[in-house]
Amino acid sequence: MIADQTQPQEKEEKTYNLIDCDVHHILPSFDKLMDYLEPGFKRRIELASNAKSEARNAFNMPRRAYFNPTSTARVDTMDDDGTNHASIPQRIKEDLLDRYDITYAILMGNDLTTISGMPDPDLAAAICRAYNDWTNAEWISYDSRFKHSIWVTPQDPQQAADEIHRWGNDPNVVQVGIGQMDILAGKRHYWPIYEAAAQYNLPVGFHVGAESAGLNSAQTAVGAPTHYIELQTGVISIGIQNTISLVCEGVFAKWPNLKVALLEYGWTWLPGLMWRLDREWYSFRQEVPWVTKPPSEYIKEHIRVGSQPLEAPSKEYLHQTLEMMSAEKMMLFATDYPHWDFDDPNYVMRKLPKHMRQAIAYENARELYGL
Amino acid sequence: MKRHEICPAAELGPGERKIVEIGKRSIGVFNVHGELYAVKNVCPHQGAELCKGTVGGTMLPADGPGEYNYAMDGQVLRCPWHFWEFDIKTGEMIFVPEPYRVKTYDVALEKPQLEHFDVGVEDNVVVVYL
Repeated sequence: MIADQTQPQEKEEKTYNLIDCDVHHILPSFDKLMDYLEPGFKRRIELASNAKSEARNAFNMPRRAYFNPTSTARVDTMDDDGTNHASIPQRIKEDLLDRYDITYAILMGNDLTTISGMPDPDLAAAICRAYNDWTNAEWISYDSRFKHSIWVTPQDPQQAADEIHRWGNDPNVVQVGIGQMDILAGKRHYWPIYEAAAQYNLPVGFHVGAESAGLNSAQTAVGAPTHYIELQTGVISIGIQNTISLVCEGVFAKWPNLKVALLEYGWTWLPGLMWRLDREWYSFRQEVPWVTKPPSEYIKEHIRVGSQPLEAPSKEYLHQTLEMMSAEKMMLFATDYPHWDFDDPNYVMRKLPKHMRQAIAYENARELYGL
Repeated sequence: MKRHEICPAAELGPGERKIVEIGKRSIGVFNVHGELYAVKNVCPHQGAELCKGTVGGTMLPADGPGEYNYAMDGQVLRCPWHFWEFDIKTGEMIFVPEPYRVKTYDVALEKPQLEHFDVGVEDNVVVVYL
């Protein structure tokens, strides 16, 4: 088996196009964001940033309680001086788009994944506005292949909705990225955000990273684990809980055009979840009578999942799992560039069954994002 | 179809049910608002004695979250095991696609066959056709 894996891979003609649904462009430094922050909010954090106070009391973006024991970035994307290539538009263009012939890259940002843990809803919303302006000015305008997933933060859902209205008619904005609070995704707290997103036919994207940040709990189902490996694996429980919540709370009944992308929450759990939820619905449909179809039908129609990190059981089991979850409808190709758990497009495409490649690599995202 | 007398009509008033054995078959006969229905006493899901479940109504499919429209009172038979809901009138599991179905039988009110009853009983009798 080991010998097989070291054989050069067969050259196959590329029969698919690529949309990368999870690319993390990065602020070169937080100072860059200060250029875009409204003066009042700039003043609010600038003193705290510059003060010679102890770091634990200075202004910081919310930090996760867990540390990755190695590096969060792919080591070959880091220069010796600490510059990450993903902070330079030209480098993402060359290292990712040109190298792999990627048609579109959805820019998810990297710096606001923890902002849902920030105590101050006004400051958090202001930072989102600045970040979106920075992305638009310095990235989206740089290369037409970059598409914008704006960031909103749900501490104050009305401000999040306002931000969606600010961008809703921009043709380069293709998604609303939401930070996860300690509130399940289907709850009415988020509904102003869904209302606004649905108005512009924008999907909403949840991306891992808010767990244990600032005021947030670890967000895993039972309680806080000890190690990074536990948290990193346990995020699948968040994907499961959010999916159940979105369906049962009636979000998709209320907004039939709303789609939700779950990025990095895994997807091998989908077949089991759909079977279980359908079973429970046969018994408890009357409790949620607005769920008028089997839950699996809502899930297949409204939920999309990023392929990365591609779990790699045997080819046989992988293909069976993809079939069982209707991956040809639900899965979106993603690299997670420049993170350490990056999935190489050639590797992923070789793993996928041929008849699903174009759908996962391109068509599902093209349809979702209206590209 | 063979005719089987169940009971005098007076013993099966609206909202009442009677579970009877006919040969090897167990059958529930229900009076739903004055109309009679007979249902096989075996849930098509896992074989529970369906007709021992609760009879009531259910929530109609709703237009949106938070909306509850209770209806079909007296017409919905809920299995005692997994609470699957069946329409007593049709035998269909309700509001699910490609529904499971429980077998139903024809029921009627007819004159009793006098040799089976004391002379002088004039009430109609519930009969089931299997």
